[in-house]
Amino acid sequence: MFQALGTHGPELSPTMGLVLDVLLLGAAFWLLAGPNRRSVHDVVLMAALVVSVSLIRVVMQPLPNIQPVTVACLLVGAQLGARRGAAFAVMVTMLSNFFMGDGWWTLFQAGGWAMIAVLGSRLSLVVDGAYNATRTCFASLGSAFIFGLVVSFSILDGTFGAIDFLFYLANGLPFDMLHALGNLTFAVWFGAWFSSILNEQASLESIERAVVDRHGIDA
Amino acid sequence: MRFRLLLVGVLVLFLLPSPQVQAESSSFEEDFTLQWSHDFGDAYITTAPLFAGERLFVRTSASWGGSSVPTVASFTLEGELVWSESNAHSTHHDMAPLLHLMAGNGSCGAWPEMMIVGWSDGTVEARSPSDGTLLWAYETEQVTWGVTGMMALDEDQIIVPTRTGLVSLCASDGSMTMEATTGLGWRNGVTVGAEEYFLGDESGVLWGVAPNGTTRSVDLGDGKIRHAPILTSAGLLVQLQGQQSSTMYVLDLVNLSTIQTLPIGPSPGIPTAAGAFVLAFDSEAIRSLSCSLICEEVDRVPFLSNGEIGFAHDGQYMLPYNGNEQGWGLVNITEYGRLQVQMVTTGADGYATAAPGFTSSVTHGEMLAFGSDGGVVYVHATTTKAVEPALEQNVETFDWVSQGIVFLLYLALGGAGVQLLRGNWASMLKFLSVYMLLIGLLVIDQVAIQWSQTIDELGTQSENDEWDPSWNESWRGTQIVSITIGGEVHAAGGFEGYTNALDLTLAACEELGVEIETESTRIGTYVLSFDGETGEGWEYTLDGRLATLASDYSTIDSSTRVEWSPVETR
Repeated sequence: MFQALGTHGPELSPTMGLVLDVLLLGAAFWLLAGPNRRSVHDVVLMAALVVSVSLIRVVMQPLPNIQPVTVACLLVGAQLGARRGAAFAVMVTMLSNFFMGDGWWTLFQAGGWAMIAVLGSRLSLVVDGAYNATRTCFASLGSAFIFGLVVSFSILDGTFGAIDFLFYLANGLPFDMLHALGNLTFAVWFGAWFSSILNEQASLESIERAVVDRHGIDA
Repeated sequence: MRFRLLLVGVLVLFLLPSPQVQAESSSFEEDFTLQWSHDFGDAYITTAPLFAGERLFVRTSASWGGSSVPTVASFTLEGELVWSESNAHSTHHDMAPLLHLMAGNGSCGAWPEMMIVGWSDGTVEARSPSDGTLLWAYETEQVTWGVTGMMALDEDQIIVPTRTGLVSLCASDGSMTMEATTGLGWRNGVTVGAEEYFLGDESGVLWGVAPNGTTRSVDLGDGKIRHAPILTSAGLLVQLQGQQSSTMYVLDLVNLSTIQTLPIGPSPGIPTAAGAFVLAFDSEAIRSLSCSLICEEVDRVPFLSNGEIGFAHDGQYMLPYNGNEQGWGLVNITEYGRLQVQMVTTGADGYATAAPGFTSSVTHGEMLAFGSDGGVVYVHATTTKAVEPALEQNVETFDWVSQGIVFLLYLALGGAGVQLLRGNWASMLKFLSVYMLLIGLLVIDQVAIQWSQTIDELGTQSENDEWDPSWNESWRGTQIVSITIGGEVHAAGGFEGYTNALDLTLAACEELGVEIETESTRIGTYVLSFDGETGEGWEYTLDGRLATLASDYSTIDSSTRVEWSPVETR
């Protein structure tokens, strides 16, 4: 938490930092790239989401471990699918960390939120366009601890023993609980609204169905 | 319906702590208003402001890494600065209470009204209260620190607990008439007994020093004595501060044998005699003790305070809650020794260890002065003649953030209650989540610190006990600090008596001539740089194990090794 816990693993050289950024950005583009062309609406919506959620994260930085990005990742994953959810997570992490501080930990934060976006896509938070508030609440609580665990791996640099790591994790529990509480608040207040915004965009599934149907007619 | 009523009852229970605070609105908040304040900048006020005559005297201590120099300042009761004297040679801990002497004479001569100031560099000064003129000065031995404890007057002699013992100075000219050597002391005030002086040291030894300098002592065990012992009918009352808890000893004045012991909490403050009772306090509680034939605890109220307690209006006592923006405890002790403690806000409501200063005069009414680690002294009075600048200061001290949060808490809980009555569970959860989140944000700092300390205690010590061959063999069994700056290791050892890693590090930096820069945060003190080197931050190990707490919260034992290194070298 302090001194030692305030650090996030090894320091990166400028070159390594650049390589890391290129890798993350490449991963985001790869995740977004697909067989179907995105409409301008899709691109603008994704860009607006990334910018606004990043901005909210930066603005809420003074509040300890209140992370609006977590619930956003869950819902983007649930509504737009795992790939776009993960891409969203990576881009939000990169953009917000540009203001809040970039480093080795960015990789783990991006990974943690991408994992939560994937979980969001698998947990049936939105079924047939219907938002499941109860599931989202539970998922938002659990995702705080998953994110905390993934990000904590950034401290491992070869000098940290297993016991030390467990103590490190245990030390962070109060902050993980606060993260969970923050997630729950975001989910109950803004979950349904945020989900409805995303719902206005055609889901991947419907796009794929439309493509298949068109090919069927052509045949 | 019954279920709803039950839930409403639970919600009301949640609300109870807040209205209770409102209901306990004390006579302080009703009767006193802020008259003026003075900001000393980047400094601490760690001992009580002192009213003497028509003046207020305030002394400051330097904050870690701060740029301010410890100062003694004199103000009129209207807040006008009259004089101010600083000590550039201070070693930070200037917490010896000021001693005010009225004019008098004795066998060693006559003296005018004086203010006696003990400095952390070992200097004892007598200054004129009216203009600060230096009347005389005497140098005592400095071992990292000098005078940090409470001095006392014994007829025409000023009894000064020094770092290494006790000296008696003639009040008229500061000449030394007696010197005795004891163990190293820290904030170890002296008590004047019928036939000898009593003081403790950092090794847990209680000393009796006769006016001719002969000493006797008793070792109370592993711990520190950091207050002036209290003479009671039951015996001499002494607190022995231990690592996790402390013990109160009642000693027989004849042979200094232990009559009885009482367990008290960790980090005890400086106890005081309060009429027929003794008020003691620590990180757990305020306790009232009755000491007639034996000492027994009469009452206790949960509290956290580790410095001084002082007399206030209406026979009450006040002490600061040593936490973030918690306020002050106004302690009323009944004739049976029962305690009634109310929390009040004074302006100096952050971390604090200094007692309030109190005076009562016909022209100015009752006045209370409060100081804290924030370095601002706030002066309240029962009169209502606050001038315009004071009104402005009053507006500035209104804590909008705290008031806003309290308002939001009420709004959230009220909203939850309304939604509950309407049977709208989803909306009730919305309001409750906000309520819980706000509570979480308010307590997270303290919870995290307590939790980390608990985890730390559970942790097993590392097997890594490598002895650096470059270290002096005489350091074995003592506290050692090692700092790696630019690849070069700076080490100092042989320290003893330090209770946390930061204090030990500061002492080592002093000895090594290493400049340390720190920053105080809500969760402890953060080391920014050593000798200007910031790197990617600094971390430290305790006996080879990576520390998980801010260094000022890390308790250490008598042989702890504290090793600092830049983050990138790990």
